[in-house]
Amino acid sequence: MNGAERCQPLLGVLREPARMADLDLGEWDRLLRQAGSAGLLSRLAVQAEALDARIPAPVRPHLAAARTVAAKQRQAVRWEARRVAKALAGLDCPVLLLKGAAYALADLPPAPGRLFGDIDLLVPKAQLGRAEGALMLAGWHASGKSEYDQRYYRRWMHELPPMIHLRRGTVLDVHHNLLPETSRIPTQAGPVLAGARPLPNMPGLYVPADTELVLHSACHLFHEGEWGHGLRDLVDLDALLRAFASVRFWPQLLSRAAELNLGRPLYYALDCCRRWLSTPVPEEILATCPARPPVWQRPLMRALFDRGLASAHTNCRQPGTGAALFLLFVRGHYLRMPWRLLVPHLLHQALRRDPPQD
Amino acid sequence: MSSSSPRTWRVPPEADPRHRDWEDEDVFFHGGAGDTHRLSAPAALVLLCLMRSPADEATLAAALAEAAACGSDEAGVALVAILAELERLEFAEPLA
Amino acid sequence: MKLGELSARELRDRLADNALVLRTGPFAMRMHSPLPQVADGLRRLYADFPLGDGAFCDFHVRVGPPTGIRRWLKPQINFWYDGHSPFKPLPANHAFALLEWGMNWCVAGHAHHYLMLHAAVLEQNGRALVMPGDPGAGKSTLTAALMLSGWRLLSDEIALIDRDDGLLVGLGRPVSLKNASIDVIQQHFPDAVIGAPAHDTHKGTVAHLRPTPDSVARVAVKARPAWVIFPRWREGAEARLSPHSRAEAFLHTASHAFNYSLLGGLGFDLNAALMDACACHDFEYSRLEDAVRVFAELATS
Repeated sequence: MNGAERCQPLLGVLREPARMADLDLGEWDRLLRQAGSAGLLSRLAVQAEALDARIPAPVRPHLAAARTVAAKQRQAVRWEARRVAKALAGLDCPVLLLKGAAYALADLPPAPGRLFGDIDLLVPKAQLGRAEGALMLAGWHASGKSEYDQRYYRRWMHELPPMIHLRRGTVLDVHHNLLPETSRIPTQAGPVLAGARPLPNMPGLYVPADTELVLHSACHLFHEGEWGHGLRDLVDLDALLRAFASVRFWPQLLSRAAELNLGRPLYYALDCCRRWLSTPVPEEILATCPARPPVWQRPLMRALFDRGLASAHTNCRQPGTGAALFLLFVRGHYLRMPWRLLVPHLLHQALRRDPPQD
Repeated sequence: MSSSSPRTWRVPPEADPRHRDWEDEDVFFHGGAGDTHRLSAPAALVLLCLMRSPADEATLAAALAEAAACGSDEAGVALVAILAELERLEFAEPLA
Repeated sequence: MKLGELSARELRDRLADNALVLRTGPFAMRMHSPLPQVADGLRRLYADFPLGDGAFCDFHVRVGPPTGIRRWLKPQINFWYDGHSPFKPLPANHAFALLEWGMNWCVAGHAHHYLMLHAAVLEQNGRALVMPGDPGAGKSTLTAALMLSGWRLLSDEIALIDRDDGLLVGLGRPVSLKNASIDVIQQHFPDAVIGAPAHDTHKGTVAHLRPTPDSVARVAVKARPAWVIFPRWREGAEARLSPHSRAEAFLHTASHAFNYSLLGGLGFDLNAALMDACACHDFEYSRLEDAVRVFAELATS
């Protein structure tokens, strides 16, 4: 596995955090840069805290700094979630936190050391308008100045344009489905909302069921056009799978994948997790995954995804990464929109003038 | 807006406030939101009370009146504005 | 070994080969640049700085032309931090200034092991002075003058506060001077070594002043904060210290810090400890020699 071999020492340490105690200064120099680029430095820093005495002195300040950043973001996400709960308290429907915010608020294994950007929310489509109104009253405003952007998000995607809080600058992405309306792989939000569980300390806020957390992470990653955070998302998946793995969980995961039509991205997720992070996925689960790709297609997709995952840092890249990233970018768009919408969209994006820099 | 019974106020959970003062000027840190503010002496007094424990409006007004050596009516009026400001800064919330 | 002990040739070669490692205070910087003006600037201003062994570097930086076809279109250069380019490209003759800004960016954006305030820091007789920066206040001119009058420079831009003991940590790097202050300093201190100016930068004309050998030699000595002083140059003003509210100073330093909010409660505690430890003043002046005198008196008080 070429890509994985080149991603050392990062990959070795992701598989076995205790190895950090044995790295020399040269390896640390590489590791900090690979992990920093991949968005994984804070995670490693949290895992390294227990090993602190065995970490070389020049390295420790970097890890302390990375832990500080993650701790701050975690606290900020919690507070922001409280505010969201308060703003949407009048809505008579579940409000789901997705991905990073869900991991943080529900204290799930991907949370320690994770960095967060926007907060992702899921509400029933019928409530989208009221949710947007309530959030605006509380100070969040839709970004995406142009009419085109508004239409792109509202009509074609599965979310409102990002909502930015006027005072705090925090960003909310409000979705009504896991994948865009125009997506080639149609999926349903109803079962996800129905299966959600409430957060104990935040009335009104919910997180998806375990199987849905995995499926959402998988479909987000494997439908993605940009792979800068690919390895980080894979690490999230690995953490979730290891935590949830049980005799009951695996068949539930597959049947839910079939129900939500997300078998294909799940297959890719399980396959990449096994190969990259040695996630203990039972062989028969992969073999019976719904909508798994035909055998002939697998080496090609693996080669693409491997290059995408390894693109995290320049010294992990292999030949063909540039082309692979381009293909993944196109694929990401292709999966989101049919050609009749995609071509005009890409043209529009290419021709628009960027807003003036200040 | 008259209320039949005084509301009880508290510092919101996870607000995690901290306080320091120099030369009788008070600075407060809001741990949850990450904001830092300088508050007037009366507002600081009220917040410091709430940081010790939740309290109802009557108790807070009495504390203000004593510190400012003024009447309870005056203190009551000032308290309304102070609590509104503390609520806006998310240092205080009324208990349901 | 010090940078000044390398021959001009060796310095240029190492720099071009990504093999120059410079220690600036607590940080080891690996530097990469094909540009002669970067080598010249380093030679002129960093001769006293120790070289690192390169086994582990805190920051990997590069200043040079963009890769690919763009390099032939316009003589522009860019700054990279481990392959990422945070700034827009600049004209080639701003290369050394770009390196300095880039190194500040590296520290201010990543060294969250410290509380970092936007302030100049100088030390004398074991006590340190923190001068928060307001643009146009004349902080850099004053910082340069104080250093050249015997104060040890810790930094002209970034006050690094150690989270474990609250002491100030120095970088000892060149002082950035702008426009008129370049001439002012050269006139008052004819022996001062100032690097080649970069004209028409977004800050006007910028040049860098070589740090005194003492500032570089003692950079590893942490300093105890004693004063927080807000300087302000005003035409015709008498050099005068007056009291400044510590609560207000707290809010000012917090709102202008590089990572105060990032550090959360710890940032609050560290900044509060700074205010506890310091006397806080406004300082107004017009003549540099009067300012130096007032501060000399402060140092012996």
